[in-house]
Amino acid sequence: MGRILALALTAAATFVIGGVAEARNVTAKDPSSVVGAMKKAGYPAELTKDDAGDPMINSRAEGTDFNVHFYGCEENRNCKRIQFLYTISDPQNGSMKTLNDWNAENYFGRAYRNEEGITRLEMDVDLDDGGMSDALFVDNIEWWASIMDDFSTLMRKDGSADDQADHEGHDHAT
Amino acid sequence: MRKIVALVVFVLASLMVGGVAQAQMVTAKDPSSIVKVLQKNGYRAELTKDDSGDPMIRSASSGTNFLILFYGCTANKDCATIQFTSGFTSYKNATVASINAWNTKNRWGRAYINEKGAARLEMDVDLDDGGMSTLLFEDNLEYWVAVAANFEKHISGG
Repeated sequence: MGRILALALTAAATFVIGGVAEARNVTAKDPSSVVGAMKKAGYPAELTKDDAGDPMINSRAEGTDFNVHFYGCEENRNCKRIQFLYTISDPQNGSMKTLNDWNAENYFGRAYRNEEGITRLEMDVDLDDGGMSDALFVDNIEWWASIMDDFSTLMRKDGSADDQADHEGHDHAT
Repeated sequence: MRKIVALVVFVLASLMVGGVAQAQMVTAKDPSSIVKVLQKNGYRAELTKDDSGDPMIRSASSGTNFLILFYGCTANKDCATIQFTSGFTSYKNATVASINAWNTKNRWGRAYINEKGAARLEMDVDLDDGGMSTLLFEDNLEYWVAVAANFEKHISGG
């Protein structure tokens, strides 16, 4: 009887711990889970709001500022996806050809320039449907930090230099 | 006593269900986990190999072929990330400026013109570190299918 009770308690405790692990998933629905994962991985994370009132996080990696935007929100809540975003207003080296070549040669993220010449690098992460584990989310941030570092370096480089020289051979440590 | 036994059985059964859910994670390490989700959702999924021997899946949506490439593999195994990719040749609106405009207005995926002048669309998904749930992978798959259709329309001048 005592043994069965002990077994029942152990099994119940294991089950509860499993439930807690589940609850720690990073979701767009809970911006604080994104903030928590970013801070744990060593990135600053200030939770604020964008112009539309949706959640937004200000952060920085390798000395370069970026934002995390939330998408698919309903009345500024229950968001579904996030986007890492780096913006540079007047890049030294942001021709459409350079951006096209960057898109051709790199993984993750998407580079473009708008009509005003404002140049951006974006990377979308789906955090809907229960989200993803802390470990997988941190791996995504590491990808972002890596490509943003490469991209911001390229954009600040003298446009007359060889476009491809400094980001070829880029690799992500996995 | 009987109640306690019933409780133990219930808790153990719950644990097993939890264990099965865990085993259904979609990872780049296990290409068959991706094949299964594609097939479950009605997509063709032929598991083969790319030129370097890494896994590759051939599939299609709405008549447009696409590939799933595996990256970060060690000796053709234990891959870390995947990429949905599709090539589009001979489309009238496939210029660098038009592709840049598409990249400006759309989320998910990355479009470019390759060295041969063909338009390509790619979307990367990180499936390292234990991967993601089937549900979340299905949501990513839906994005890819929607974005690929939207992109083809854009470069067709539609």
